Parts: sequence; structure tokens; C-alpha cells
Amino acid sequence: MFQNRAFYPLSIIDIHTHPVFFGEGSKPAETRHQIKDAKRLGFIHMISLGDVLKFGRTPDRKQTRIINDETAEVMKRGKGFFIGFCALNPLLGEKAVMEEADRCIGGMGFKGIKLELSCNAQDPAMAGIMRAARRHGVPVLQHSWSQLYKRTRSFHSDPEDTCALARRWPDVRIIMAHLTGCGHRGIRAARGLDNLVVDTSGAGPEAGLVEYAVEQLGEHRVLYGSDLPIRDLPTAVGRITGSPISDRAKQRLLHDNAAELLGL
Amino acid sequence: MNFYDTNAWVGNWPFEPVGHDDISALRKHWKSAGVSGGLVSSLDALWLLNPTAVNTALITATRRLAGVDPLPILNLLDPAWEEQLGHLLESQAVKAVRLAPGYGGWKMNDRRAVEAAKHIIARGRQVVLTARLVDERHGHPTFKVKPVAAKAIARWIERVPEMTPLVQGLSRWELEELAKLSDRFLTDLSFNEWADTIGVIAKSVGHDRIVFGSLTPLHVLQAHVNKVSQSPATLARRRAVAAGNALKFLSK
Repeated sequence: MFQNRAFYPLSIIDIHTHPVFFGEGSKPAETRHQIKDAKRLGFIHMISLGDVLKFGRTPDRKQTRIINDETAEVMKRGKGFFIGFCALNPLLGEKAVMEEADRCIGGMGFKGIKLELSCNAQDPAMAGIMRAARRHGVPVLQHSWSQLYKRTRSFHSDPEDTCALARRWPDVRIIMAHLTGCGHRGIRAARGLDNLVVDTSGAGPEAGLVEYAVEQLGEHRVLYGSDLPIRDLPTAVGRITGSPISDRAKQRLLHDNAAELLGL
Repeated sequence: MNFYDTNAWVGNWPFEPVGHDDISALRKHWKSAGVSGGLVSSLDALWLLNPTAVNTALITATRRLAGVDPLPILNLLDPAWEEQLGHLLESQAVKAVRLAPGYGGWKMNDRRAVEAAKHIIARGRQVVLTARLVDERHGHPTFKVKPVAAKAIARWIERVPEMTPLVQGLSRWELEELAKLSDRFLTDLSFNEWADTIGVIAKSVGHDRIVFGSLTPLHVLQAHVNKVSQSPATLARRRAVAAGNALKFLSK
């Protein structure tokens, strides 16, 4: 059943990182160290999602700008290594969302939108986000985790919520974050949604999920992500290289799918 | 780099099929990732009031297999746990005994946890504590096992002065809490992760108290191997974490 091989690509793209996390990593020397260590392990790009919980679940306009300016600074320091996703709070309204998306994506070269815990993915406020994503032609990365009967689902998105969002907006590409948190339920919910991909970030390297996702969704709909610094890069990569999927699928997960999604 | 896995399992998991249910499949799997041996427990033994038969089968199955050491599980909820333990310790192949309170249905503050640990240590064996086996956020919705609290582990360690147990399955934060309360334990990294895991955890416990544990087949073995082999730590420290520290622990 297991097929651990020596496969290890030398051009990995990580779709889910937080180079700055609650302030840690904000100094230039820390960014240089992160890049050096990542390159040692074969990474060529990391998607920087910002310090998204720095001001809590629902940052205001000014706080959102601060988060995104910090991401822009990391991108500048990385000289092309870091690709920014713009953190947005849907509850601020469509006008505010659109202005910040225009500033970050249109003005500073961000390539996607990151949504954390401001509201559930089925909240009506999501319409502004999706129109911003459509306008700029960028994907939306939605935090997702199986919640089942938890009360936090009012602001926490279950995979079924994220899938409902993708179904409602078929012309916007969605990245459903956290394969392990989504689990088998999340994978099954995502079947048949061609505009939705799943990233492998989040939680420990639980066995069985990567191959199940590839089997159920296809190798073109699963992307490698780590959730750095909460996760360890070699461990996060190892959950792909150590899973019983083909070398071609590993290559797609670790590089090709993200490159195609972001036009790299 | 030689790896000795302190947290490997065989048998059946009730909630989903897992990779290997016997020792030969486990050994093949280990070999594919460069692991030469380790401590093996039975998933089937986790749930039984009296796991003696399963433990005995495990000891028999690992007999004469170089590098494969049985790690039987003791359930203290059994009124005849002393008999269970006595039977286990008759085998010279048993270098350590695993306690898994969350699955056996007993609490860490149970006086029997102290008595059993004292008994095991007195017989020249080591104690391994499973504080967590599954991320409780992802457990079956009707069956979630809470991890053993760091404070309860610290109190238990304090009450058995001769013991330096191997504690498995704590998160980074739980481990840091335990390290503030006790300096007399070893840890694996099965539920520890952060950018540069070994470097971060070593700040709390030191490199010489970290051992390799993969939690295979519940976790992806290669992922845990990478955590050590590709760590920025020095080669000597990586080797110690991969195998040296665990072998030293078991040879005491």
C-alpha cells in the first residue's frame, strides 16, 4: 500500500504560508532566513497570506491595510520569491473590499485573495469578495475546516460552505484551505467542482488523505500548502512525497498546479 | 541516517482502514523510508480491558526480528492489571510498557498510574505514555479522546522519582507547559510541528530528550522522517534524535 520513494522535486511552490505570524517574521533578517531555508529545501515560490489574525477575526479597513502592507514589504524583500494574497474582511462591505483589492492586486501585484474567519463562506457579504476576485481574475483562498455541529460555524467555514461558495460562483477559482482539517467529508463535498482546488496545509501529516483527495478530485485539483510557520516545511512536503500517489501527481501537487493557477 | 521509530503501530483502527496490520508490512514500510526498527504497539490492544492476548501475540510476532521491539499496552482499568503487567514483564523482549489512559478509560491522576510506573521501573524497564494518538479535532464525531493534560503528566512524573518516561503526542504548547513543570521526561515529535521543529522544541527540552516517533500508520511516515533528516540541526543532533536518544533511553 505504501510507496515511499526518493522523489523530491527541486521547484516547489507553497500555496499557503504566513511569513509574518503574530509579528514574528516581520524583520528583514527573518525574511532572509526564511528564504534561505526554503530555497535549501527546493522551494521557488511561497504564497504569502499575511498576518491574518493579527487584529483578530474582523480587522477594520485600517488594520486590513496594515496586514497587506506588511505582505507587500515581505514581497519586496523576497524579490519575487513571495507572492502576495490580499487579506480581506467581507464584512467591511463591497466598496471597502473593492478598494483594497484594487490597491493590492491592481497596484501592488498581489495574485489572490485570502479569507480567514470574518464570516462563513455562505454569508451574503461574500458577494463583494467574489466580484472583486472576478474583476481581477484571481483565486480566493478560503480558510476551511470540518465543523459539523460547532457553534463557531457562524464565522468558521465548513468545507461544505466553501463548496457552496464555489458552486454559487462558478467563474471564480476557489482554494479550499487545509486538507487535513477538511478531511474525508471535505474531499467528498468537493467532488465535481472544477473551479475549486484543495490545499494540503493544516494539522499533522495524517495518512490516507492526500491519496484520497487525488483519487476523488483528480491530481489537478490538489495543491501543496504548508501553513508555515505553524508547520514544518520538510514534514509538509513529506506528506506528499510519502503518499502512495504517482510521481507525476506529486509533481503536479508540489509545483504544476500552483504554477498554472497563478500563471507563473 | 539510522532511524529508530518509538511510535509505530500495527493492527486495526476502528474508524478507517490503515496501512499495515502486521509486522512484516510495517517492516517493509519502515525500510522504504530508511527506518531500521523501533518500538511497536498494537492498535487492537488500545481498547481492551485486558489486552494480554493481543500483547502476547505482538511479543510472539516480533520475536527474533532484529530491531523490532514490542511495546505492549497496559490497561489500568482492569482490576487484575498487576497480573497483566507481571505477565508482560516475564518477557525479556519487553523493554518498555505503554500507558494510554485516554483509550484505556482511566485517568492520569489514578493512583494505579503511579503504582504501575514504579513497578515497571523497578523491573528495569521504561515507561512510554501516549498523551495523544489522534488530533481530537478530527476524531470520529461521536468518539473524541481528549489528550492527557500537561499538569496531570507533571504530577505523575513527580510522584515516581525513579522514572524518566517517554511522553508522546503532546503539541508544542502542551510540551512547553510540561517542560516548565518537569525536566524529567523525553518526548517524540509526532504532534510537534513548527518551522524548524527540532530547533523550537529543543529550546524547551534540549536535543538529548527528543526522540523520533512517526505514528505510522496513522501518519505519513516520510513526513516525520523528513522532519528530522532535513532539519537545519547539526548532523550529530539529527542522528541523536533519529535513533541515538531512543536507544540510550531503552538501554538504561
